[in-house]
Order: sequence, then C-alpha cells, then structure tokens
Amino acid sequence: MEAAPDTIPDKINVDFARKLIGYHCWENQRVWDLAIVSLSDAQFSREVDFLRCSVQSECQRLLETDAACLGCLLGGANEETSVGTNVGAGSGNTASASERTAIAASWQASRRAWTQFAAELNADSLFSTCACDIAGAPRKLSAWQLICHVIYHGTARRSQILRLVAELDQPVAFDLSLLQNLTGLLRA
Amino acid sequence: MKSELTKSIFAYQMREDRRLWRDVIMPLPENLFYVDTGYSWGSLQRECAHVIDAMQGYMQRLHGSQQVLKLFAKDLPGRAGLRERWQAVESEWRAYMRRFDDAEFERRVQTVYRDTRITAPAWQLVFQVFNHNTLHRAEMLQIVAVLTGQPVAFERGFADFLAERDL
Repeated sequence: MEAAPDTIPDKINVDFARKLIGYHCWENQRVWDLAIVSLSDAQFSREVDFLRCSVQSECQRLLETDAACLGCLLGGANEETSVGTNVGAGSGNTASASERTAIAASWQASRRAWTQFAAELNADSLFSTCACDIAGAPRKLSAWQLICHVIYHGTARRSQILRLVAELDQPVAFDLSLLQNLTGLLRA
Repeated sequence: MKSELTKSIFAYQMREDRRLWRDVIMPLPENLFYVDTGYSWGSLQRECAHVIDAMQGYMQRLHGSQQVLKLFAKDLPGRAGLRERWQAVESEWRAYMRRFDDAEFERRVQTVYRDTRITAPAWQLVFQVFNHNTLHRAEMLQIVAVLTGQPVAFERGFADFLAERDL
C-alpha cells in the first residue's frame, strides 16, 4: 500500500467501513446457514440451465473476489490469501463431500479474515492506495473503493445464490437487506 | 470525504440502473415485461415498480415523512410509464445528492422501518437504497434469463466503474 493522502479522516469513516464489512460477513453467513446448508451435494453443484451457473460456482466466485480484494487490501496484487480460493473448479458434476467441505471452510475463513481486517482497519489504511487487477489491467484504487466493490459484488452474488436455491429447492424465507442488519430489525 | 464517497457510489448505481433500462429492459419485446416468472416480484413490471417505490419511500424518509406513501398501491403503469417514473425518482435523488455533504451523511433521521420507529443516520438510508437497487438489478437479470432462456452478462462492479471513469 502507498501512503495515505494528506486528509486525515475521522473515526466515523472507519466505523462506517466496519459496518459495511460487518454487513457483508453477516449476510454471507445467513445465506450459507439458511439457504445453502440444507441443499444436497447434488443440488449444491447442479447447474441451472437458464442461469448457466450453480450454487457451488457462485460461492466460488464470491470467495475468489473477496479473497482477491482482501489480498490487494493487505498489500498483494490479487494474490490468493489464506482465505483461499483453491476449492475446485466446479465441474458441474455432483460436488464431492470434500469439495463442499473445502468451500464451507473457505467461507468461514473468509469471514474471519474480513472480520480481522475490519478490526484492524484505521483511518490511514482506509485511504491508502491499493494495487489491483481489474479486467486484466493493473489499477490503483483506494481501500474504501475496493471495500465497496466487495460489498456490491457480494450483494449481486447473494441474490443469484438465492435465485438458484429457489430453483433447486424452494424460495428462502428471508430477505437480504442492509438496513435490517444496521437496525437489527429482522423480518420474522 | 464521506459525502464524496457516497456520491461516487451513487454515480455508479445510477449508471448501472440506466444501463439496465437501455441495454436489457427496453430491447425486450414489451409483452415479456409483464410475464410473471414466479419468483420474488414475479415480472419485470412489478420489480421495477417495487424499486421505484423503494427509492421514493427512502427519499420520503430522508425528508422527514413519518408515513411512507406507496406510488403503486393500485394500478401499475406499463413499461414506458414506469421508465418515466423511474427517471423522475432518479431526478429527485440526483437533486438530493447534489446537496449531500458530510453533515447530511451523519444527520439523524427519525422514521419508520418495518413497522418500527427508528432513528438512523442518513447514510444508512442512502446505502440501503444502493444495496436494494443492486439486489433488484440482479433479480431483474434473472427474470430476463428465465424469459430468454439464457443468462445476461451485465453487471459491472464498482471497481470497474471507477477504472472506466478514469480512462
């Protein structure tokens, strides 16, 4: 990371970023626990025709982006981090128990890594510049920009996962909402 | 800075919304706009109406309304009518975001959310709209995939938007 610009942001900026990261981790965990766990291994890996993807492949894409961005935030340029994305290529065949276990482990590791990153975040790091690779081209983005990229990418992927679960099993009985996390008002 | 961050995300959200209308919704045969696909809000028409209602509702909350009025309690407009309403609500948001500063970011707003009275900083309502629009763009792309039988390669991430803007 490069040095932060002259502006010294206040504590609110860091709290704000932590809340967004906290939401991302919380919503990922809810999707896993309430939508994915109950799927069979065959459902988990089955590709839905009209979307040309599976829950497994969407989980992997979410993990890959989260890992790549966290790697950038921690100082590497899109390097795989300890949260790992080496969880199988998603062949479309039934996921083996070990593949699914590996994805579940990565899901938890990702959450822990982002939670730790949020806890250690400070005003300087939030405004530092990160080297990353976007669409095959090297870019420099602020840490907060990458964090927001992760949040919105996650929202789109979670929506896709819930749609797949509805096709493969049944619609889930909860909705995705940032404000319900921030206010604590969960829909019954 | 907080307001600048918010404005840049707003610009991203509006661009994605406009791309959705221009590149995905409008090129579809109009009859497909009304087909109920049986998931979430069902049709593109009802998804669009819901998003417009939400954008309007959060704008009302930000302006202090204690009772959020829904635009589409009864008859839903057709595709052209909903696009007009979407653009009108977007214009209200643009005007609001032009005035958006760090003080507004932190301003405490009293409102009702899910039948519960809450007090929240304005940024939480604004970011709720950003997240909500992202979620429903994804759902609309899924609906189009059902209608056409193939996925739509569409969503560009916030980082892509920033990179393209700087080119």
